[in-house]
Amino acid sequence: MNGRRLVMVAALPAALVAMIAMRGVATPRPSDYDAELARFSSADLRNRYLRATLTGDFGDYRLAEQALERELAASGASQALLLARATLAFKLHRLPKAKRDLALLPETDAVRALRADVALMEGRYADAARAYESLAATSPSWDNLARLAYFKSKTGDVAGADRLYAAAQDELTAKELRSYAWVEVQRGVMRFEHGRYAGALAHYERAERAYSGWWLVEEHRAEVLHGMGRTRQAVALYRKVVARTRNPELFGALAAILEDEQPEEARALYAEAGRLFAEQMRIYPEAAIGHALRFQLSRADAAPELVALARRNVALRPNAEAKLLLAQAYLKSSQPAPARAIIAEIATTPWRTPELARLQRELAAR
Amino acid sequence: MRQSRALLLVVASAVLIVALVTGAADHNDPNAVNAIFSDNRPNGADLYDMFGHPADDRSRGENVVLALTFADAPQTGVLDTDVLYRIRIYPTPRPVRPSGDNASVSSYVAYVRALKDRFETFKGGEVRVTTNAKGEAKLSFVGFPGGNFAAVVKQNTAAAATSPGGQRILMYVGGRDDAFFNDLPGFFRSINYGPEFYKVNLTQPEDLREMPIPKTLLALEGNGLFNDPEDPAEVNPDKPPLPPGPYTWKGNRYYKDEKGNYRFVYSGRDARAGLNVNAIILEVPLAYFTKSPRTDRVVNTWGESWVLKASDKVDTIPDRSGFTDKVAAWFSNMFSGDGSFDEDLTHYKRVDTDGLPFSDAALSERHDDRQLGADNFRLAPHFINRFGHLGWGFGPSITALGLPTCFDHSGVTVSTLRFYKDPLHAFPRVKRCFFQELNMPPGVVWNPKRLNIPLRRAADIFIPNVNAIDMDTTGTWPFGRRFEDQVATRFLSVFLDHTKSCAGAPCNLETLGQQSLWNAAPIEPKTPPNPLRNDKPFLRNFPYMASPWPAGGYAGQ
Repeated sequence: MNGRRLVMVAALPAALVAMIAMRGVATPRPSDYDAELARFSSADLRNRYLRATLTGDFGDYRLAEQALERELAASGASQALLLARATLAFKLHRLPKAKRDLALLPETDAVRALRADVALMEGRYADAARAYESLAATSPSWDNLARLAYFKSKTGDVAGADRLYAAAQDELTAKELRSYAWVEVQRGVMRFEHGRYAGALAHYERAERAYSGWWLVEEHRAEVLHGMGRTRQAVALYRKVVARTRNPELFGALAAILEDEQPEEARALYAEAGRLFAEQMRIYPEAAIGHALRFQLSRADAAPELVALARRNVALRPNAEAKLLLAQAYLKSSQPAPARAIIAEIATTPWRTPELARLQRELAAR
Repeated sequence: MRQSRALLLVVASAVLIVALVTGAADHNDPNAVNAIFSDNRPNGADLYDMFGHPADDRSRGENVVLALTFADAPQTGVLDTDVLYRIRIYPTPRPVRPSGDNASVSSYVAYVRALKDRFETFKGGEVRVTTNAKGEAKLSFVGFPGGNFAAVVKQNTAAAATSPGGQRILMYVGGRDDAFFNDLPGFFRSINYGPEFYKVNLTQPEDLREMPIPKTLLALEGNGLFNDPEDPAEVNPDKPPLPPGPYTWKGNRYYKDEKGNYRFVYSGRDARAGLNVNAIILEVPLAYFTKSPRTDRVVNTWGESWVLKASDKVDTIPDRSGFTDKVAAWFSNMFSGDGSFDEDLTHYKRVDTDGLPFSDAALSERHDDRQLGADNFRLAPHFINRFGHLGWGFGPSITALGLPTCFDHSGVTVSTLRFYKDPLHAFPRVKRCFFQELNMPPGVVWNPKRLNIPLRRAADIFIPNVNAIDMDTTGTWPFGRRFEDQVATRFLSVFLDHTKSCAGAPCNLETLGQQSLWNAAPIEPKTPPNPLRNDKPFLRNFPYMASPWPAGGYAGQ
């Protein structure tokens, strides 16, 4: 042990005491998320837009959409505004609207990428694959590499996806730590989906270091902690995220954990989730429906409108993921035959996820 | 187990956010009044200028003065610790121009190839500069015959170090007044550059940058998009939105006022007056850079900025998720104090390069993939095409003012929009501009020893993208770049015919800087395009650049 370490060890108890004493008086440094959110507080379009994309809150999205429409009315349909509106429409799963605006725009990398995203959302996998491969080859920016990685992760090439995500991260600098954290989350999700919880947690923890305080990271950490049996930590984290985001899906996730031990609180949380989902469905039904559907599927009893909801979801975005939800809705409603047909249909596409494999096993066992 | 959610939603979110808020380089050489693109804040990786000339005081031997300037972000006198700067230095003998008629594409290609071979085997050295959060800078001198060494200096303070060979090296890292003085909005007006005057994001289509309108020195009649907007405010301006297109020009003549005068697109005002930069300034004996100072008379230099990769940055961020982690981090910080320097180039990503003034803004069009530093040889065909494009804009403007131009525009009477894809088509139009010798101004002492130093030509200047400092000259542009050089006006003078007379004297690099010429020209305002001197006098001694204005929270020495 060198001299410096000796000094550190000797000073550790005093430092601990000082830290504890200071806990009550020191002003904590705001998290990266809070600091960035504070910068997006004004009401102009750019800040409204950035705030919405950061919080994921439907109310913020509505304000951003209103600001965008105001700007379009005031200054006309410039290419920048049209692209922003197409992107917003895509994020809200309003695919026809996104396509209408995209049709008015010249063929830039950003437009090609968004068109490919729409193709993926519509289940046109060959079109999406072609465009993603081409973008990654000709314009290998971090986001285009991440797009291709996501596609590969959903079509069975997990190792290839991880390599591409790593390549995407290598394109990012210290000025883009939120994007870096986002890619870390994707790498964690891939591992989580394949049951590799420790690996997933390591990625989520690195994401937290890169960009602290982001609810997106915290809720994924909570999810994997629960999977690892570290329920108390998961519950504490979920409570924090739920209080911050009022995200109904996370209310549902927390309720599911508490259901056995604290049934009353779980009931209240489920009720709140239902109320919040109803509110989201009122604001942006296309964006809310898939999440609401998953919530319904997670409940013990099948809601009477479950299959209708799932069909509506498929009509909005006819992709394998939506069809998988429809198959699950059929199964939950004790209709295995149409569920089998849908699963067979998905099997003809390149979509290969652990969720699909699980459902195939479940059907085979019946 | 809860299923993973629709992550595509987040893909788009993340991408859009990064497009709007991250700091890419504008590739401002020279610097803009602001970060030109609406979504791109000034950042320390955005290099502005690479100055360099022989030191005037030869009492301590032959020394080279070098200064790399860049955006004063996060603020004047405070450098971004995530950015690594390199000043690369390659002394060579003065190139010998091939004899005979070389005004052909093939001879130009041969010339470029010869240079390319030289620079590809470049074994020169570099000064690598990193900074820490304690206000210190580490300068590592690597690969020079004078021996490797490093010095840690306090920022905003001139310092000296002694090399292993005993040579005295002067260093300054910190904030200074911006030594560049010009009417950059005028330049952007001349090339109809949308992002300077309107809200245009870095991620928007490239045809919203230089609009498809002829380049011009004189306002085009009916070009409302660029004739009327005010010059933008200094930093983070609230620019008007870009009006709906099409962004073209349908007119056929220059605008004239009721007195028959043209309207100059330039105002002559100093867009950088009162503004600062951060800078790395060095004064180094030539004999430290080369073993053969008698024959290596040209010091080729350029700057590069590299930004720390995200993954390496994360490695330096302590885990603060738990209370014990917080204690450990706090405790560790007590002892470390963020005083470390990361000089490992593999941890960084190159963002910007800077050698010649206007190489990015005028010739490389600020493209990220053209940030090649000295290694820009592959751009030679592009430069011929680009010169042709610029010539069709500026050439007729020069003719309209009654001045001779080197560009062959076949007698058109107004600036014309023309693009070239094949350098063989552009070359006949530009060859005189490319290969004419550029006259130095009569009153300027540039060759004090009266040696047989050939005048430089555009063909020699722009490839490679380096500041080539001729140690036998005073280092005034294009034989280097002195702080007091008005390079913007000199760049425009490249389009004059230097074999002819301008207002009674041979056209030269300062012709367009003469007030008398403008007094006699049918134009308003009657001013040289750019200011004639800096807003603050330069210093006679190191660090030469004037002290910074008390702005941005900084009021240093």
